[in-house]
Amino acid sequence: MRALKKGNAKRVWSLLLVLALALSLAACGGEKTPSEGDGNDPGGSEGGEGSAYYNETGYPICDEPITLTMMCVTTGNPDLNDRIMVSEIEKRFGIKLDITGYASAEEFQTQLNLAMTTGDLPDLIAPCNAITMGQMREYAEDGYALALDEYADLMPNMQALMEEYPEYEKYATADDGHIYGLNSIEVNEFGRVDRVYINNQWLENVGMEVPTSVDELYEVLCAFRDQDANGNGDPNDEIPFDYAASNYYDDYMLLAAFGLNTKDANYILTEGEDGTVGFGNASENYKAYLKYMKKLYEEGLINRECYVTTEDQRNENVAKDRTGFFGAAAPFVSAGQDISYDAGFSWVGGLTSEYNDQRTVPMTNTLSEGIVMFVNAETEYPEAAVRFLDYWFSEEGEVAAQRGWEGVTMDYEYNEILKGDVATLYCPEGYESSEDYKLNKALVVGPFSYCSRTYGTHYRLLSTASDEVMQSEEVLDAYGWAVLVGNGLRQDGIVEEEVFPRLVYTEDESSRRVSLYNDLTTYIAAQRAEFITNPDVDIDASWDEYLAQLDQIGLPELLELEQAAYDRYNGN
Amino acid sequence: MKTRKRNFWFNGDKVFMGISYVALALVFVLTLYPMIFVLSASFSDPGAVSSGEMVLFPKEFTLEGYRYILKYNEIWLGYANTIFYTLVGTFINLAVTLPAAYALSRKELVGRNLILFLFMFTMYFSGGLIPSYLNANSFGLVNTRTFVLINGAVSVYNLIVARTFFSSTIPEQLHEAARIDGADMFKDFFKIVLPLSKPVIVVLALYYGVGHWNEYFTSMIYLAKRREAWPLQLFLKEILIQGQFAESALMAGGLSTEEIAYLFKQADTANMVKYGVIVVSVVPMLAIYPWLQKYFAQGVMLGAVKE
Amino acid sequence: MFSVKGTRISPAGKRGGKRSFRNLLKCWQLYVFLLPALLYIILFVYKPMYGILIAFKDFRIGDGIWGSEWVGMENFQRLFDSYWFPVILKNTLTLSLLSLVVGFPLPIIFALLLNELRWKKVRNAIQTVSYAPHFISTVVICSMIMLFLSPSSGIVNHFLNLLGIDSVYFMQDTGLFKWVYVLSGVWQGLGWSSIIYSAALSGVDRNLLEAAQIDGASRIQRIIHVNIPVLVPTMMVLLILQCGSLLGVGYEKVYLLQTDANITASEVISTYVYKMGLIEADFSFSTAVNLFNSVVNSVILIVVNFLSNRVTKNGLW
Repeated sequence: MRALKKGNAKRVWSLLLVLALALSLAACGGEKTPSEGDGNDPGGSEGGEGSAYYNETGYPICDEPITLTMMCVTTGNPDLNDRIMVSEIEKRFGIKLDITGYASAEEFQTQLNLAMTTGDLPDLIAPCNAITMGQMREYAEDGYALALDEYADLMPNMQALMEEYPEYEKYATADDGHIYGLNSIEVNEFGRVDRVYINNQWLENVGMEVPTSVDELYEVLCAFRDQDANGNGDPNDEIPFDYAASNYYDDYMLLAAFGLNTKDANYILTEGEDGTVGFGNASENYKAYLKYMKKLYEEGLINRECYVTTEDQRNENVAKDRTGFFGAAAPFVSAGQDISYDAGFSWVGGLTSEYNDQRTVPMTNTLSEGIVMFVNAETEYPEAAVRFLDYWFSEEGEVAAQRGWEGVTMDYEYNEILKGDVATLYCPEGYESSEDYKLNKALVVGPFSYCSRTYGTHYRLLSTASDEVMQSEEVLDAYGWAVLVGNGLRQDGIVEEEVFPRLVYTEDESSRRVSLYNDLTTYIAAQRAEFITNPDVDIDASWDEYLAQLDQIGLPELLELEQAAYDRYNGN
Repeated sequence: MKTRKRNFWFNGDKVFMGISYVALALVFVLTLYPMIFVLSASFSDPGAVSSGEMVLFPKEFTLEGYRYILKYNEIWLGYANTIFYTLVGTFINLAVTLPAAYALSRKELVGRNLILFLFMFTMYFSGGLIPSYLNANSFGLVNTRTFVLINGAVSVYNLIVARTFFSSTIPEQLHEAARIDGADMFKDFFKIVLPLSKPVIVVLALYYGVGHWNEYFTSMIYLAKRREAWPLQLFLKEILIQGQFAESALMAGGLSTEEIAYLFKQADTANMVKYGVIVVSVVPMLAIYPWLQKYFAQGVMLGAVKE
Repeated sequence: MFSVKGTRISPAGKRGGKRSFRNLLKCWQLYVFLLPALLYIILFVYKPMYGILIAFKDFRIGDGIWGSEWVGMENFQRLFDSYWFPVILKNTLTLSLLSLVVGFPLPIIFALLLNELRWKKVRNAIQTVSYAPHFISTVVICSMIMLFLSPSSGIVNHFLNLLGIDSVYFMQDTGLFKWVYVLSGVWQGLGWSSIIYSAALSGVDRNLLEAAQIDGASRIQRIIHVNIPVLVPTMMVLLILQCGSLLGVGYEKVYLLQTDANITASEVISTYVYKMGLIEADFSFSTAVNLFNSVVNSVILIVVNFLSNRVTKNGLW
């Protein structure tokens, strides 16, 4: 007890000290400038006390370091203050970060709520998607969040991004017209495509090609089942399709084949011709998808344990060459191999069916659903904070958020094959890989990634590389899955289509929606499993009953709500 | 006649004991298996475990999991903290619970039912996280070890168990006799009740102690900024969370595939660590149990006292 | 403290005045015993109890508990109006009643059988081993359950296959979920739950046992007539307490064993609320659900306690 009181007292004292320091430094900052130099406007420092602690343009942001406290969700060791990035930020911006990291989103949420009730909210709050837009709206209304748009002049990089990608501003702006939280935007097509792979060797062993329609896929899977596709001498140990059954890449890809573009298999919103919102899970397309899946399941083409299988087991199936067709981040990731392992696979997507004669590839929303960062409305240093956040919207900032700075944590290396520079992280001794170095020593991953426009990455070079380069073995060995995806998207007739946009809800809509959404998606997921795995259930016969249940749970109300939000979205 | 009857019962006993041996053996095997499984899994390749190839003994033997755990220096700090919380915390629990249970077991207590109600009410109703946190904050107990020690100082469940034990196993005559010898309530409690209640004290110590040993939620909330005071379980949880992260990162996006690959490798280790962690945290609990057991076996010589 | 002599009991306590004075003194001492525990619950449980109000408000952190807007029963209505409410209520009750029926008597039987075992070392070994699974964390227990029950590679199905039975899809079957949940619970908790009974059995009067043996009573008779009566008070108290947590099926284990294929049998109140919180945390709603659980549980407790008092003369009060 005494320890804490002491601690509290200490904190109060140090706060006062910092305050006093900041004020006195602001006052005497002008005298120091001649020696320290560039970018500072002595007049400004001398004049108004309040605005003197920061520079309006250029870096550092603060000539005399200020401390910004921050809480965030993080990967790796949550002790973040000894990361290279933190000391580099202090050097470059004159901002000393004092970070408390939490290992899980739930823990973060709890601590955030407690910090709000006790008034201990730090300057910067980085939920990294752990809070929703609805919650953000509530916190803002309660006065916890700084309205960033009021500091637009200090955020030129963010302005530029919003000009280039108007959807960012559209989504980030709350219904009162202010921007409180920052979302992240990813425009990298490699990261927005569903990743489903088929094993080339298996295809060769059964003498077939990469499927482009659901019927072809069915034929291929039958061949995988009936023949010794993995060539180990046992024709019965193959799992033709290791279906994840958990709202994942393979589901999205197959739903798209039936004309349903979505990234939420249990809640498919569709756009009607006249701007009406439709519900995919109640459509004939969805019914056809269910029948198709049921056929695969009953004929033993799908892993029969699909509803219990875990990520580990599915990875193990890839590693042991027991499956030929699956969704995954990349085959090499599942198999625990080197990236060149990917060369043995092809990307599968854009399948056609009688419901969809176009080779459609649904693209994930560019915007993150949740909030990545917001600023405490009560912060001592709002200007410095917004300028600091704005930095990460710049090209250099985007690269820095992902790989750090040149000469500090990475170097630009010229890539001979792709003919361009790629920011390549160091891998110092004592680290098993550059990712290990990045996540555990170099960077604070998450809080500063607001945009991913592929600056400094090989994705940028891959997307502009010639077909010839893309077909070369060297590129395939070096960049694996991304080349598979890239080549897949370059096939004739592939059409990339955006999925239903993310909508912004009002507070009332939001709280009502949570209940209805949860009730409805739980039912749809359960019913999907029932339709597919229960041999006694006839989809046609139970369809009307299913639709009636959806209505009873509250689908009409939910759609009304979505429609209202969608109308606002279009009206803007 | 008499011998025949004896014989008959003797046989009945035999049948009964036969059945009970089988039942006990079954329980033994069924409960031993998971422990062997955990132990073996902690030495096995995680792939072999998740694919079901490892059934009883380690497969693709490896010490990687333990190396990973031991590399984590804070494990030892966590151990020290947990032992501290367990010993001191349990002592506080007993010091608070036993006297209260004794008081509630006495019929002389005026307002006994009302007090019991006060306690039982808290079994079901509480203010929830935020008011409790504000309350602790108002006492200056947030981010202190003290709070972890005194939080849950009395478990009503244990209080009732102890009270029941006191009132059902210690005969009223004994209190009566003590009273006649001039003992007051304090003496009655310390000299008569406590010595005769070793089994329930041990059970309570075990319940509370294991509670402290496994506790992580309170520390997670109330010691968020005092890493050096974290109990073992919180560090172990942190190791495990790194393993679970790969999957969620994969679904949420935001990390590059190479990073996901790295996280999956970590997840692999975490899968192994998952079992090693149990071994690490359970061994001390298993080690003390046989020592506690003797207090159950001893029994209470109530009969002798009565005479 | 212990030198307080004022409480020396006068043998002539029959006279009225002295008697109440004596009672008061006694009570005073008993209150000293109660003081730490009472102090704790008053300061740390009752003081923040106002938090229950959240259930009747639209709680917003910025407004605080007192300042948030009253919404009456709206949060409860949200639970009752839900399409899933009848399902989750039924599932919750099914799981906890089955746990009670199967899980309550087994530890008692186990403790009694163990008590009959004469080889001390064997008895200690069995007891120690049986108590160990209690320490395996829920996460690991659940992944072990999934592994053991796997249709293709699990040991349970291998065993069934040996007996000529086809593999059972335990985790994809709505009818089997409750058995998986309850039996794995027994498996994990048997030894741990029996400890209290073992402790209580140490209170058995040995003279009585010996006397019974001399009278020619069989083991079963001795167990029924000597051992079990000793256990009855503890048994009844634990039974009442367990009945008083019928709606309290925790979320973690159920959640970890849930699959889309068994969810209609496995969604319980706590998992329902937990998932809702994953989409968007709502203190008011979760507080309201907890309050609903508590009210129902405490009503059950009161009723069961009343019945128990009537039937067995044992009760919490």
